[in-house]
Amino acid sequence: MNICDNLDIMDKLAILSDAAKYDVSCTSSGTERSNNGRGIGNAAACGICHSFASDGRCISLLKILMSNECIYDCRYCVNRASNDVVRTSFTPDEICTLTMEFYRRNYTEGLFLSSGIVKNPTYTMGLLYQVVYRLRTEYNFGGYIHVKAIPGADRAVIEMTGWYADRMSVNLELPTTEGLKSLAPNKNRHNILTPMKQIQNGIKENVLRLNDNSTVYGTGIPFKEHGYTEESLAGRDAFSYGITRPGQDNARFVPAGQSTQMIIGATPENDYQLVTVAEALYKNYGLKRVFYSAFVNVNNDSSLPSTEAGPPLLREHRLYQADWLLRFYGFKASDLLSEDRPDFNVFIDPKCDWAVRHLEQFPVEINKAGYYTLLKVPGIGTNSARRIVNARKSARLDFEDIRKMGVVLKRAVYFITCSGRMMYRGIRMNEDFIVSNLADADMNIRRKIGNLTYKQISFFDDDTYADIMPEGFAQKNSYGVISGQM
Amino acid sequence: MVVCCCDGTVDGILTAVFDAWAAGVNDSRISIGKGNIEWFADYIDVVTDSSKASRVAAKVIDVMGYDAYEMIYFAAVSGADDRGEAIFGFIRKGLRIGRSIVSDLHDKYVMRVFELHRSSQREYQHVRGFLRFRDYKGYLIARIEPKNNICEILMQFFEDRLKQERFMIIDVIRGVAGVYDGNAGYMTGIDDDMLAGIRNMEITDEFGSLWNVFEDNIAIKPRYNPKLQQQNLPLRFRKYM
Repeated sequence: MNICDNLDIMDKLAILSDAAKYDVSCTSSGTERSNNGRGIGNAAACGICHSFASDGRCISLLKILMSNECIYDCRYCVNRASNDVVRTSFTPDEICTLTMEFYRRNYTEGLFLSSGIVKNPTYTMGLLYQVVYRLRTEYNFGGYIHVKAIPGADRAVIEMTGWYADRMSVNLELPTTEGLKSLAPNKNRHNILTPMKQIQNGIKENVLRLNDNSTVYGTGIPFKEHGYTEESLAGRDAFSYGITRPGQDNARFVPAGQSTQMIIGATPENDYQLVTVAEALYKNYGLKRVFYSAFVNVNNDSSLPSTEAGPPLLREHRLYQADWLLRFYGFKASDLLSEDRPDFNVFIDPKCDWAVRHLEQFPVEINKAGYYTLLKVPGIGTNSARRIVNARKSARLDFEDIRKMGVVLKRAVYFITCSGRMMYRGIRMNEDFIVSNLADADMNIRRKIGNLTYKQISFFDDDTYADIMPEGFAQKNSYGVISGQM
Repeated sequence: MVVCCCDGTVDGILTAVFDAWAAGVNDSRISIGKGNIEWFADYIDVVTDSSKASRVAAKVIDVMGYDAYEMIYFAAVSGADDRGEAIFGFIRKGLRIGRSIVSDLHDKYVMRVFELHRSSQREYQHVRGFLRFRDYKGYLIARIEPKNNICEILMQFFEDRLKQERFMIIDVIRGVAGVYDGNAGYMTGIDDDMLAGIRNMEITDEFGSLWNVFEDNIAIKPRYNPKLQQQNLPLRFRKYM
């Protein structure tokens, strides 16, 4: 390993931000916190984007690795032990200074700190802990901090870190155990899910405890009267929080929740498997976000799929769309895909695709339909659905009203009526008609998301395709579905 | 018909609402500046009076709720010529029907205030992220060129965030600046000569070049997509970044 200790801070920053960029999470949302009066910084619940890189992705946090030394040899990773790259590490003070100075100048919302595995997972986690501890207590930093939990690290140090971070994340990396085994031989599913569960428990207990506190201090009723004894509370603490808890009673454990990330297109999983895994993570681990990262073959590893034609961006885009449907629109993974139909449609987004296959539920009357029914209409989002439900209390709404409220009529027009009328006469409730119109509208989206060409759709599978698409449409356009690219 | 002409500031518009009310609600209008002079209308020059404005604001918050006041505020800082008219219509109806006014989007005045609020609020959120301070002898200085008059609300945001710092946000289009000295903040005007100097001033900051190194390295080259970058970060925000 080529370890350089004598680099200046600019070189280190170049190396360690370059090494951190494949972590996609960049959100700074989930915590609303005012300045504590002693130092610098607050946090906005909605998160704030501070810049956009030349790949079009948002820059919200100073995203760096503590060190790019790594004892692991994951095939997909640019920092794997077998790669011959310059290795270096930040000192905690360097990271704190960069974070503070960038924050003062409004370059970032805070810090996103990850690391290669130095010596062993617990040692590495300890390094990360030192940084966030000092940043919060010595530098009085009140901005946003996202820290990686290192799988396999001792639970105590993970918990200690959680008291100073806003968000923590453990990367699932690959959706199946087999995928993980073949590409990341040093990691295993159990080691990844353990800290995830631990953080989930910590968050739950913390929320519960803060409520307990407000009961205790708010009404003056001691725990005993609720059937708790001081001892049992202490016992519960020791069990789920480990060793340290900051002195203040109102300390919050990972208040912005946890997230994870999966690599898309390095292994042969289909979209259905991915969405099902994501759904299970939301349900069983209470995650705030699952991120999808289009695979880039950085190591030119011959055992992995080539991404010379570009990473599978459209597939990633479709997965994010589906992810939103799971979290905010009341859809289930099984509504969107199935074993027989395991991949998303290239031409139209998952919600339109669902609507076209469920025409019996449409058209929906804007002035009558319930909130969740409105949410199922393509072109109507959570904001516009809420506005419609509120505004129609005082007036009958027409197409012009809802357009101004933010409904995308280009998509919605096939699925709605206002006061019993459709917007145009020529609209037919017919799959062919709707799909061909929607697909044209969606081409704009395709242009926006990247330099994606049809060449990148590596498989033309007309059989699968014919199953999904209405007959007439399939003959008109002989393109295939984007599949696993494997 | 009575037309109340105001200076277009938030206080000015709210003062005009007060005066228009006094002149008879149904027979008055609010205009920013003189506008097109009409026959058969009386013109009143409204003198901005912050005590009148805060009485209107208090009444609005009391009857229509804080959300409604926020909508009015953001509509008032927008650059649209019809904002006075829209806000007056909004308040006139709102005082009658109360808190539900914010969702009565079928009404044309409510919809207009909603639209103005949305666009200036969006710009505020963008600038909040894209604004850059440069360290000049211990003072943090930021220059902005927003379409809407959002300097004051930006100051509120940064006064909480950078409580221990001394900083200044300068709107180089309108010639106004917010100044915060580590304890208290105030707004001030800047004359044209000084403004020209501020516009062309070069402030070098060593952390600026460190940040550029970071921005360059964080992009994933195979995903290079300047069009998407420009869509998310329009050129007009980049001038002082």
